[in-house]
Amino acid sequence: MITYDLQDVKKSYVRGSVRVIALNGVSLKIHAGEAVAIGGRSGSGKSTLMHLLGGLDHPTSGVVVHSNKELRTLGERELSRRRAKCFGFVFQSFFLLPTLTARENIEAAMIPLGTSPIPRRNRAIELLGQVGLADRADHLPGQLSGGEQQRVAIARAMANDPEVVLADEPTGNLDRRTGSEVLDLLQDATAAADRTLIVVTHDQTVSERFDRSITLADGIVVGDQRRSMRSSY
Amino acid sequence: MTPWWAFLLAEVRHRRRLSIVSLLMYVVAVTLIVVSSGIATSLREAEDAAIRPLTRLDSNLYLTRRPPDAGTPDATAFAVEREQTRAASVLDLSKLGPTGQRFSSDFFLPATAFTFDVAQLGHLSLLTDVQGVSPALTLRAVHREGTVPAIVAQYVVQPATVALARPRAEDQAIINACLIKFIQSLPKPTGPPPPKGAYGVGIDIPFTSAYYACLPARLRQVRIEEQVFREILAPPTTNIRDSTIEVAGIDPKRAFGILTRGDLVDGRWFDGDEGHQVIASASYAARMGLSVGSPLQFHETSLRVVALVKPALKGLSADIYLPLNQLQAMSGRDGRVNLAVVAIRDSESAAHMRSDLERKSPGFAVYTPHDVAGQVTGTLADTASLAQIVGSALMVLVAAASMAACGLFSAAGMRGRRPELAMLRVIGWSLLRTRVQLVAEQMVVVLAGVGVGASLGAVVLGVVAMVAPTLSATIVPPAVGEYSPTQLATVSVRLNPHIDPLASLAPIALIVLATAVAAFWATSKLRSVSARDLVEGAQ
Repeated sequence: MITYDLQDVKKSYVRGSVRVIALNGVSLKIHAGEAVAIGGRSGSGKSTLMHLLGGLDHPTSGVVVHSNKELRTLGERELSRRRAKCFGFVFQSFFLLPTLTARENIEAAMIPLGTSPIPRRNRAIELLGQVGLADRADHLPGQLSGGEQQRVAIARAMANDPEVVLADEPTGNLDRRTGSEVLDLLQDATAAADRTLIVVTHDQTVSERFDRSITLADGIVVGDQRRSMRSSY
Repeated sequence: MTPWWAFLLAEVRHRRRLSIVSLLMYVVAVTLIVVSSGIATSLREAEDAAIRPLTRLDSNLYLTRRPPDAGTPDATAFAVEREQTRAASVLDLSKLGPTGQRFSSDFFLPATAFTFDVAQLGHLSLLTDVQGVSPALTLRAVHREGTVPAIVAQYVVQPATVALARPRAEDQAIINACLIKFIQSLPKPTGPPPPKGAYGVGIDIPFTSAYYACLPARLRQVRIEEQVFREILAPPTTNIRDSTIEVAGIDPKRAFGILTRGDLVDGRWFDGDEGHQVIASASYAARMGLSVGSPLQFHETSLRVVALVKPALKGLSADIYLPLNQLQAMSGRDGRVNLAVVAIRDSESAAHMRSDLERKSPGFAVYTPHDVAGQVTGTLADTASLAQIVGSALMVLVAAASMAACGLFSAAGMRGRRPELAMLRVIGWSLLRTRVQLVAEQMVVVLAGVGVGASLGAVVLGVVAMVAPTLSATIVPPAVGEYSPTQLATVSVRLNPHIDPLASLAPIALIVLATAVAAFWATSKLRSVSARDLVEGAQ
């Protein structure tokens, strides 16, 4: 089943007085359950592509279809709901809310879907257990290490059992060992739930861990390599 | 605690300094509202007790006589009364008796207006809508007593010219200076030096004197009154003292007028068969230690207090009340009154009747209790006016303060939080939910400010209540002619400030609402928050 269908997607924006072309005609399909690495050098457009996939931004031209729905056609509320329900996000800088505990950060992701407080709390504790932080539930982000914060971010991304987990340089701020552990966690968590995992990375060793590796350069796809199938599609 | 509340309170705590500044602004605003509304309410209650009765008394009309135009038949009688009044107030020391002897004298001055023959009211009874007319005589009784001083100089008073007008204060100063110069030029009195308490009055100033030479031409036509000499020559160093009492003569048979049976608080109404009765106002009785049955010496007559009254403030109350004919006889004003209360059949037609009466009663001024209410002066009226002005200014201040506090907090709430807010949007918080979150942060502060401010306001009001300032309202009737109206009634009201939840509610609700609206408006910038803020925030 096709999760994403991108057709001739272009994205440009103005930075200062310069028009920057981030994506210059990207077309690709991503199937449900795939684990995809999107690689490329800095400025190749990979983060922009992830924003478009997550409905955080819209293309200048072309279409981004997710689960048979073009994201651009969705209203603000519908798009917000889709982000909450269908997408889980993990970022390089974690972006945990600094004034909330680890558990509350995970619960915050369940608020938009109207999950009741007790199930919400139980789910957050369950996820913290899955990422090995059951004993850190009441710690603030500032009291956690970088690896622990990223684990909390992964737990938050999985909170609503999303169809797709989008991770933008999830190991960028971590040492190699911790980064590897985080990747393991991401891949295990999504594989166990048969979810699609899309990781943006500039690290070739990270890309090599994925079933499929898409390479961008100057806003276009210059490589799309499949190694093995994690699941059938 | 749910993440929503935890997030909200944590954010407020996180920006502690700004939260405290914002909170203080709300506390000050709410405290001001609670205090001012509490005081305004107590002032309103004081007004209800003291001033409002003026406007809800009755629809009676009141008539007094205007000074007649020069050359009219009434002008002569008017001039005579005026001269009598003036003469009555002038003290001729030469007629008091031997030096050192105690003396006392009593005389009457018109309290508010000149008198007129009661027969001039005859036409009023013929008017269709007039139910009745109750004439009254209001006078100021002056009792003067003291020791006869030594006479050190005596001059014949012969006014050189006719008075044109009272000089202005600056002209009076020039006149006084010339007088002193003139007096100093007079020969010194012979004989032994005057004893302490000497008093002198009366000068005849020839036109050729140094006095007129000293004056500028424009002031040479101004007559010098004896009073002027007295003030300049001999400041009152004797023990001569005047005491005044407001006295009103009323028709006891009338059911309406400036005093009615309904005003009695103790005792009984006048008994027609009994003489020497007097009714005293409760305030005067309290001042003089009188009660029902007390004897009262008035104008060389022994009276007995038969009742105490607390008349509504019609601007016409007096210290004591006598039967009209008795006061007329005492004051040498037989058949004369200076006020008529006109009862009309239909209160709805008061305005029409007023103009009708004015038209058909030339020479009379017509007014209503409502006019009197407009003449209320004193600390109560002043404070009430001030409270109204302050109240209006306060609303503007409060609105500005709350908007400023809100702007301060909201702007700071946005500043530096774009990545965080962008993250909320990323994880699926809708724009509306995110805005509500920020508004709620502000509302926590404003509601805390309301709580603290209301408590503080209650404390301040409690302190003011302990001090319990006393305010007074003075009722002054409309001025008639060249006579300045005299003060006829004063009431004192003890201010009892307390929280008025209803009066405070609206402005406080306004603050809360203004804050909510302003905060919501301030969060409109969230529309531009995007995933790029995450990236830029991280860099």
